[in-house]
Amino acid sequence: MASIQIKNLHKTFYQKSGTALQVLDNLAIEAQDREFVCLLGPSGCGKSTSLHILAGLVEADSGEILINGKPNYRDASYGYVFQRPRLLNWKTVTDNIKFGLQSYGVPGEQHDARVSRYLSMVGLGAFAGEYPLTLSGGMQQRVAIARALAIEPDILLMDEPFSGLDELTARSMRIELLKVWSEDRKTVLFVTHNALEAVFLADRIYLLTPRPTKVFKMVEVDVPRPRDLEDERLMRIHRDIIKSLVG
Amino acid sequence: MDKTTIIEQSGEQLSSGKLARGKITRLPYQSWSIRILSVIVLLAIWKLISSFYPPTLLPGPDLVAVRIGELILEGDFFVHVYHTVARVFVGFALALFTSIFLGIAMGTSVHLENFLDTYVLVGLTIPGLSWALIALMFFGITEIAPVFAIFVVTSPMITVNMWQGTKAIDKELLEMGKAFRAERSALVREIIIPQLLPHIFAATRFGFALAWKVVVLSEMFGLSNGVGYMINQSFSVFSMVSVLAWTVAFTVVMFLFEFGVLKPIEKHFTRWRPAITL
Ligand SMILES: Nc1ncnc2c1ncn2[C@@H]1O[C@H](COP(=O)(O)OP(=O)(O)OP(=O)(O)O)[C@@H](O)[C@H]1O
Ligand SMILES: [Mg+2]
Repeated sequence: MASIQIKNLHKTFYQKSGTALQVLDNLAIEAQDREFVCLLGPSGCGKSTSLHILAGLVEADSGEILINGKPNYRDASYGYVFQRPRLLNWKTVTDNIKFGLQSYGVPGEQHDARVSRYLSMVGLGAFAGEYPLTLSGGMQQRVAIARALAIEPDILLMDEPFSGLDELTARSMRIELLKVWSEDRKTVLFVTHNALEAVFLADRIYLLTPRPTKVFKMVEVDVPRPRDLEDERLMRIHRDIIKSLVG
Repeated sequence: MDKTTIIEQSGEQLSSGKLARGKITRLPYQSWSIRILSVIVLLAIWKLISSFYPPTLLPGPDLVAVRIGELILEGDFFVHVYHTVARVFVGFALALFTSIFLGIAMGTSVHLENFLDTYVLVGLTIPGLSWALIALMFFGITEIAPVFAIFVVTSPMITVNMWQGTKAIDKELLEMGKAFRAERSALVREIIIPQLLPHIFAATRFGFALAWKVVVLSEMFGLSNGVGYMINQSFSVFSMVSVLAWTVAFTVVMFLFEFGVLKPIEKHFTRWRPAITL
């Protein structure tokens, strides 16, 4: 159970030269429990910064974040998937997932069961003992997804997780992600600047302005799952989004 | 079912390089036979050159080998090697321990970096001979003198290595660790130290080479045992064969350390790295 309400979020960075860079300006985003929400915005607009604030990597200047209507948002757990896999190359696939479990304070006796459950969920059961550098980019990213899922987080934060992959691999990973997600629905905040990807994945899409960033449009994708990428309704929503983006 | 077929069935696109993994890597005995060949070539060149000179001026490898055998049989050999090795290890261990902290501090704090930078540069410049003499004059003919000399000669070099290593640490991995709420100690143990290890190995290798050079100087100029002392003794009776015997013997000891200890440890810690093939 985790709904997210982000209200009036502000963030200004001070660069080395001393100039202020206002990144988030009154950002307001909502996600219902078990909802798949995409943030779609231009490069450098502060999408990663928003996820960093939720994960506690960056402090917001002001604003409110409510989880299930309560303000102590750091009490919720967050699984994080980055653009690059960010695996520890000196640890096996299993130990990488255990690093996440250990760090998040999951009791040791649950580790083995979690590792095998989530590795087979992403289709890598046979690679538990391998080192990351012997795996392809797509497989490494699946390990990163398993690492995030294994802590059984309230909320899954995904920051352009497929943008580093070739389009064919990315496509099959999107389908797999939805399959995994439909088995055990988490609330997902998924960052992308690929409109088609957002339309295919999301229940709801927030279109963000360039810096200083706020929401300029919210789009509901009311198309039943499982979805077909060629679905006319998806295509129409995609066209509308592109139209509103180019102005 | 082998792994290759598993990969293919999982629908991944694989570069041809990945499929060939493990097939082109060189077999270990080939690398060993080349190493042995290089030693044989070296000995042959030495033997050839020595045939133009009288053995008192340049003895060949056979005479030196015989002399090493005599030294071992006489029994003093291991005593002197032990003293030298012990000094090197103690001095180097102290330097490594201190320099890891200094290097990480310099890599993480701009103020410490600016402050310590001068010391490191000065330290790298001062000749080992100066340190050996200064240490003997200050500490007298004690075990502290060679250990101190090794410490000050190797510390700047190790510190530079750790400093560069710390700056090269992948910040994205640290961010990942923090996003998963890893504790500070876990970040150091699981993310920082593994990335410093290659630098620690490089520093150990160069550090031992430096330490060996400076300990020999300390032993020549003041102490009354150790390989350097024996080289000096041989020099005073103008026995070239003994000077070479002690030098070669100690080089072999250092080689054994490299291949018997350092390389296996390094291999263990870098087993996750796929073999590089060109
Ligand atoms: N720690 C920081 N200090 C100073 N500036 C920062 C910092 N982190 C981010 N920024 C700046 O804030 C802006 C937003 O960065 P952010 O990474 O959130 O963008 P993004 O929307 O994720 O972009 P992209 O699509 O390229 O990943 C950028 O201009 C970036 O340079
Ligand atoms: Mg980003």
